[in-house]
Amino acid sequence: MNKQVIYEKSGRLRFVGHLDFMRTIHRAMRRADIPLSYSQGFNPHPHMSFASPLALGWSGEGEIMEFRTETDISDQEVMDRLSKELPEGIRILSCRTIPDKEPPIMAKIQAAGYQILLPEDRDWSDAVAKFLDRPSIMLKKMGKVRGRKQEIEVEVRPWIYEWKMEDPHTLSLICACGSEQNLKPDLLINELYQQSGELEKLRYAESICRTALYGRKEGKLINYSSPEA
Amino acid sequence: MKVTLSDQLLLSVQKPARYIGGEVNSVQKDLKDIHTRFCFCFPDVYDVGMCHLGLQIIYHDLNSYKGVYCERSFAPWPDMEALMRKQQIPLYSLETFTPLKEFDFIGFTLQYEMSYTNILNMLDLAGIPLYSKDRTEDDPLVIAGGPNAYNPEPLADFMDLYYMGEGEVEYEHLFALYKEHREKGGKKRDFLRIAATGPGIYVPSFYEVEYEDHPAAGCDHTPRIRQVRPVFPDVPASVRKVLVRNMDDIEYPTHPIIPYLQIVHDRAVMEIFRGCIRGCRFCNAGMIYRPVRMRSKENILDWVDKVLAATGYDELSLTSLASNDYPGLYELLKTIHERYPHVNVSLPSLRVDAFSLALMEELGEGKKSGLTFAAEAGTQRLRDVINKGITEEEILDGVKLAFQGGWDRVKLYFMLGLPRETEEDVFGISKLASDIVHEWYQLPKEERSRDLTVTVSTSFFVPKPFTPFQWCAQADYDTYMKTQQFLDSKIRNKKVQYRCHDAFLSTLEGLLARGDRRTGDLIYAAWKNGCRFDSWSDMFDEAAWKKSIEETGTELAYYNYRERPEDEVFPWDHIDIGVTKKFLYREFERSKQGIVSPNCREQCLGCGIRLINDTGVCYEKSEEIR
Repeated sequence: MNKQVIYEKSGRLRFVGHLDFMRTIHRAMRRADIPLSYSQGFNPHPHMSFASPLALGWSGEGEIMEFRTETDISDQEVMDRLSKELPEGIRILSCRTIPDKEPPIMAKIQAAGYQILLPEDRDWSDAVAKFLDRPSIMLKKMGKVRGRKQEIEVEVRPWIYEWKMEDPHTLSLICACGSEQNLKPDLLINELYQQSGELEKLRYAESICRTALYGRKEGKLINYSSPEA
Repeated sequence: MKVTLSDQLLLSVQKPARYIGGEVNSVQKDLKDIHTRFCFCFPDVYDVGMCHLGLQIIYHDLNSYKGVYCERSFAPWPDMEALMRKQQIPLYSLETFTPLKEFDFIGFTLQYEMSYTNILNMLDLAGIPLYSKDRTEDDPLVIAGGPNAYNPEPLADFMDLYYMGEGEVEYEHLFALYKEHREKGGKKRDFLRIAATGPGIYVPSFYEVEYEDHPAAGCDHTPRIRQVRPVFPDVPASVRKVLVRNMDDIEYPTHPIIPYLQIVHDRAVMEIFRGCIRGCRFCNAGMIYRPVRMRSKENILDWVDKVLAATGYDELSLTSLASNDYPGLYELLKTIHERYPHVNVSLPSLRVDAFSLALMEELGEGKKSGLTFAAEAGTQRLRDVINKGITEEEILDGVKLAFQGGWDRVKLYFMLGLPRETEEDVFGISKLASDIVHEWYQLPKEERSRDLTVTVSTSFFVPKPFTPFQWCAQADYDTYMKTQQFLDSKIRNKKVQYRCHDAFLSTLEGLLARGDRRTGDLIYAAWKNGCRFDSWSDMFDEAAWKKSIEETGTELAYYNYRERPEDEVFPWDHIDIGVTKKFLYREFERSKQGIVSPNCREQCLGCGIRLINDTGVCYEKSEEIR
């Protein structure tokens, strides 16, 4: 049986990196006696996958993971048993059974929504508007050129799909996320600091929450973090 | 007061999960029900400290006492330390983020000498005066235990009290006394007088060390110890370790804390027995953990069920000082394997023979990882001197079987600079390695695997307290390095790799291991000079240590290079581990004659431990063993 679980990662768990987080979930599943299915071979690993790794320090309100079970188990049972074993900071929001043929969630994610808390010492509305309203934003990032890792410049403005200032220091943003196009919001914010002359802010780690993960159907964004999707 | 760490701080250090606590199975208690707060301090980084079984044992044991709350703290990595100092964040506990200074007790475990500077650093980060004499009622009582506590003297000036022996035994009683004393309005510092008369407790400030009037023979200015004596009549002249009578009567940490961070050994651990019957003459653990006491198979299986259920680990390590000495090991493993086919079981310190190879074959189901032989010395003559009961024949038979079974990576461990070592013994190391390679070529081509690697690793022998070699001179740096170079030049076989390291660390280890109260000044100076995490090769500051040795006038000729006479008063003579000095000296004499001693199951040698307890191997009947 294939299951999809939507969960929240917050609090101290934000400081647990993705690999450690996966191990934490795996152990919780074993303690909860979820009949996880494993790959064959010398080093069997669980059939378990995560939509998109969350960077260290970020929280997530609609994170998605999928796993396969060896035997049938109800969605409610998974929620009840697993919730009991999870440490504070991981909360299961929903669990559903998905068809066997469904492509993995990882392949479907194309965008993510973020809520970013900027330093509260000034009103950012105008600076953000000036920055994001431009037709082009070039970002330096590490990438591969003919297989060799080096710093490259990328045009990211087309990857920003929606944005809005919720209040003078809270930016909501929907931008590209996934294996093909990926825009890390912290890099974008760093560029914002540089463009608006706030260089000392470069050392500041803003509070970033990933609010939802999206896919696309016929050009329109669909929210996979919502249980109805 | 509660310490808070900002996101900014946590995001600017490596591995922030080291500092956040809140792990599954960590204990939360309501502070209003607590009369004694204890913080278990491991003087190394979180990822190392959390592998330590002793921590899990003490943590869960102490937390099982009503009114007692045991929390944890580790040495912050230098990146975190720098930020803590800059932002004036005191060292805190991971359970409640309480500054260490607010605890009743903080307890350090002494696992290895090269963690001593970290202890001073942790005290300093906690804002607790380093020297016991400078502490006041506002400070916690600083207690230390663990294997290295049996020579308490190098850290004696920094500790208020020591716990000698196994943690499961006396803490409950100690805390009950503490509670009673405090309820009567007694002062923390006055509690030391009460504690000092109880079993297993050593309060260094109640003992006076007297030195001879003249420097020791061959030394420039360091006199020997004449005697150590208590300053109060009711304080015992000698402190005896406390030990667990029956391993099946005590609790086991069946709900160990599960770190978020991947730690060095990330797995469930089950201790199958304590102690070792072997009596290798260089080995401190083999003496201080005596006598061998088994856990029953039924209890082990029951605890394994509980540990796996409470953790979700898929790897289990059955630990002891020598796995093969557990009677019924095969049946035990078979049962575990049948119950948990998907759990990977490992056995450290397994002796390689037909039996254990069959065992590994079964455990690994085709996984052929490397085989390890702790031969320790290159020739039979020298192995007899150190009483390492493994013969060349056993090693060669073992590898032959292993090669037939498809293993093709062999690791060999040796010590250089052992007492009575000759050039022939060192050469013997390379010869043994070549003989193993030769064994591989003896197999028909189609039966052996594609390639073979034999790795020879050497460390330097360091004489340790409470061993028959405690009287021995330690080789000096140049001798060590010359021996190493000689061996390196002799290893010519292309299939043999040689791994070795610099000898200065071994010199320091030897100095601290057999140090006395005067050595405390050196540790303090080294800490002042910036030393910490000395067991991490990338952090070890050789120059700072050399400078500290010079500044304090610490004489290596006295502590390291001197063979002690029979009548030497050791700094640790007033600590009683149950094994007598007389027995150790007898073993030292036998080593000089190259006489092998039988192990505890073959014949009792009267080491003394039988007299202070009534269970364990000393009282095992032969029918119980098989």
